[in-house]
Amino acid sequence: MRKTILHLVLILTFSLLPASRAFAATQADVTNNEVTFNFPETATFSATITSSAEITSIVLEYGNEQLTCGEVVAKTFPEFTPSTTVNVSWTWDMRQFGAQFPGTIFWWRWRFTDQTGKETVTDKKTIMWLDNIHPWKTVSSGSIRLHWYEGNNAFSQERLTAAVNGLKNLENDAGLKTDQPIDIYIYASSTDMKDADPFAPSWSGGQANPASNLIFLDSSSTDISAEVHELTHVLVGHFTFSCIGFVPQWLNEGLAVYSEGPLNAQFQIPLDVAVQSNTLLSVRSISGAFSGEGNQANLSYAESFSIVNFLIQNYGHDKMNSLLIAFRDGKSDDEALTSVYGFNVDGLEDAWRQSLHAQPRLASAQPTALATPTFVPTIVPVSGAPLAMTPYAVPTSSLNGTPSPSSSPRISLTIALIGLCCLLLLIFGVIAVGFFIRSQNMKRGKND
Amino acid sequence: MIKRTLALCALFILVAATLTNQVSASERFQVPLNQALVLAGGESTNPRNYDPAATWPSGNEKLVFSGLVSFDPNLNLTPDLAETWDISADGKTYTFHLRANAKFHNGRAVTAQDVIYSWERAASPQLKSDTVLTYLGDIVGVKEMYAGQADHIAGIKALDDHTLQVTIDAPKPYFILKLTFPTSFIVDKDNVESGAEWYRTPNGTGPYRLIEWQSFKQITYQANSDFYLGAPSIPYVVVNLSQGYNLYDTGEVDIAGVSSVDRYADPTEPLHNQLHTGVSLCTDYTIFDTTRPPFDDVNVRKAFSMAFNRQQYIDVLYSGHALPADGLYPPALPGFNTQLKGLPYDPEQARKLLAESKYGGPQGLPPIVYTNAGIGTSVGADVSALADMWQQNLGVTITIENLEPNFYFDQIYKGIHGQLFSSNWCADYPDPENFADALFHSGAQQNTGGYSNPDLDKLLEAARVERDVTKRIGMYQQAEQILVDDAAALFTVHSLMYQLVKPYVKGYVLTPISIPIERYMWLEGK
Repeated sequence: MRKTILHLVLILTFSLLPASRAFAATQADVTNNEVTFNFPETATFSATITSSAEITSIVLEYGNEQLTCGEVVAKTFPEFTPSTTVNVSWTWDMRQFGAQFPGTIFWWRWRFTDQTGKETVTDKKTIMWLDNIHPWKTVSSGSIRLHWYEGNNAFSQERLTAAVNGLKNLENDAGLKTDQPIDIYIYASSTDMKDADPFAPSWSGGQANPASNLIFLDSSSTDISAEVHELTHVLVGHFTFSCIGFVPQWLNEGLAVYSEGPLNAQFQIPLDVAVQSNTLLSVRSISGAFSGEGNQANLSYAESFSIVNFLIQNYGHDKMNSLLIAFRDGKSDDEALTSVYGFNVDGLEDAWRQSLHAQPRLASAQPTALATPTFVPTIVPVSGAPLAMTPYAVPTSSLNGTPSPSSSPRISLTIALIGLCCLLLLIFGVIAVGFFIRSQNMKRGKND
Repeated sequence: MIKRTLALCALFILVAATLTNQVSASERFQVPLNQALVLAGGESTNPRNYDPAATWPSGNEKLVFSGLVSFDPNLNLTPDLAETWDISADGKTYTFHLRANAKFHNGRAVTAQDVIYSWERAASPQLKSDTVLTYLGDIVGVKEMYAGQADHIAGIKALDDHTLQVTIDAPKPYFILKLTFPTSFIVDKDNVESGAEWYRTPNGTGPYRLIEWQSFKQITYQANSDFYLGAPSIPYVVVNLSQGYNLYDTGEVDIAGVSSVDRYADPTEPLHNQLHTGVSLCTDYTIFDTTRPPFDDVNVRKAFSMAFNRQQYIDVLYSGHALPADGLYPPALPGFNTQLKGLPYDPEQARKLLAESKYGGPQGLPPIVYTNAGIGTSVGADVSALADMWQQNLGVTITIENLEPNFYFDQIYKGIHGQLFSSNWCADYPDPENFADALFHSGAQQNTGGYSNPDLDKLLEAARVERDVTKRIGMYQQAEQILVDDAAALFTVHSLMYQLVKPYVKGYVLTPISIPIERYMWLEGK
């Protein structure tokens, strides 16, 4: 069977925008050609297409502006009934496919064919995906465009200056620079930011997308260092852009935290505790997405900083840049580290742990802890004889000796309580009747 | 005294009623989560994804619907709606005896007529099922009905309410295994004909009934207390439809797939002991449309195959957590051949082959489009890597076309795709016929690349009825070598299986073939 695709898993990045060309040469007309937002959930592309001949095919070609490897065009085929006038629409549902960053530019065009075989392509249009409930204002300087809606000019100027200085420092210290504009959106609260990206982890204070030069932050839970952090992601993303290379998460986040300056207490404390209690996460384990659990995520960030700090302090920035280039060129983690430093991931972990005076790495903290795949057929092949049934003691075999949860324990409780009440009523009823008979007898006796 | 007793009883009843009301509200809007297995999932806007006769399964259809037979957790064929069956001496006639206690969720008894209705609906040209010829096409008359040449399937007959006779076109030993696939699952005519959105309130026969569907939030299933194989132990199954970051880590789902394997493989990771690993029966591959230039030339297909650095692809994209696919069959599938000679990574030879093709080299190639399932301009790392390798090693630039994932297969089966497109195939049953024949026979419904090789067809047709199992497996191995030598497709990786399972979920078995596992499981201490 084919695997059903309900959402994308391996998302890459970066691309070029496809050139758009309109060569409408028919009696066709497109009106109401627009996109309506229900931010942050949906973007609905719609149009009314009219033609002198019946329209038989409609394709919406669309995309979002970002860097990619080569030309990429997304297509969708909205349902419609062939006619000379067609109202057509298609909805990009972020709830299915993941959120887009605020500030993302969408482009689209309609390609349709009529009964005579004549194809028409509309002009390419663009629109910005942004939550318009906020009164966004913009200030800019150099490559930075900063957008905010709450706070005075001093606030925006402070944030802008921090970003501009951050860029300068990244260029001076690490040789990372950009000539492309970078948009930073500052949300006034974590609630506002969560409304813009409901799928972000709860502990997140900001996000960066190097492919589209976009950053968004929550100013209530982050200080100006967060801008430097996210800017580092953008510049590292530009520096390491490739079609096959990946920068491990510990390196990406480590560089970002490193660029903020000394480690703050939020990260230093869990790092110290992990060293003392010998609960450091292995370097391999933080090469991919960090934990969704806040404490584990904090430790992951702290360790990432510590590893990057170790590499830069001991081997310098040039070697760090060489490492980034090795990853850009499609080397695996072990290959990249070995080619630059002469040790692989395990060697890095050993040296780093030693620098922290931490316990040595667990020998078992290796991928070998996983099941070794077998190359030997393990399933009995179907023989030439038709298959007979194989009786199977269906659920009971897997349920033996296990407590089967009651389907509704509270209903049982209700029944028991009602039963108890009835019993009490019965008892007291009998007593009451006894008293009544006795009193009647006594009355009768008196009367008698 | 009596007054006081009545007051006390009234209080008890009030408390009890309050508790009962709480349960009712809880069940209506949010089931008691300590009695629910919570799974991660997604929602499709394509109704075909929820129709067993048309779907490419996601697994949840085996909660609601069921068929005549299924696999148990040991991957043995086991009776399901059919309690027993007989097979004629010539291996062509199957007589299924349906369970007398089998009922739809609304209480109506399941009859042989329901099976006939379900299968004829699947075979009807109106439904345009992309799977029916693969899984029911061996039955006499299915092809004719699908082609609009017959109103009924000639090879199925109800002998009485609980007896169904099925005639197939040849004694194919694997036929009955195909009936474990959802295409043959039983649907209720009244339910299906109740409206276009019938699938939102399905009346199935499976171990769970769908009781609530909150779009993009959750689907809730309740154990079918009348299930003919016994009521499942877990009262509710909830599929969490919302997206989120690492929902398993935050305890919002009980079972989840894994994207960052290395983290969970680390013994210091708190969730390490919840990681289940195994070998899948899947092969990922890129399909060449062999009916269109330039992949109508075997040298071009070979050149694209040999320009692919499989090891780098696995090391970088999968961090080593996948197996190289030198051929079609995944490890653990009968017929997997350790001696298979795959096409090696050899950029120089690839360029030479491209130059020797009728296109004379990269300059002579027509524009090449790679179709992929994707949204917007984001491109999967796998497709980006392929594009880069072809660019670097052959000097060929391709255009990438993203089709909406919900409708990707609809377009592929309609032939709306580029000359290259992504695919993968996981075993439905443990037999190489399910790969070589189902995917590459020239008449196969799943042969979306249009590959045609008369020698291969002949070999596959002979293997269908070969009774000597060793000989039969040998024939499929021969077929695989033909496919590799002819570069019928670019086989990339065999993925590995990684699942996280909460410790209070008991009875879970990581099977390489989709089975209705939920009914074998229970919760302990959630």
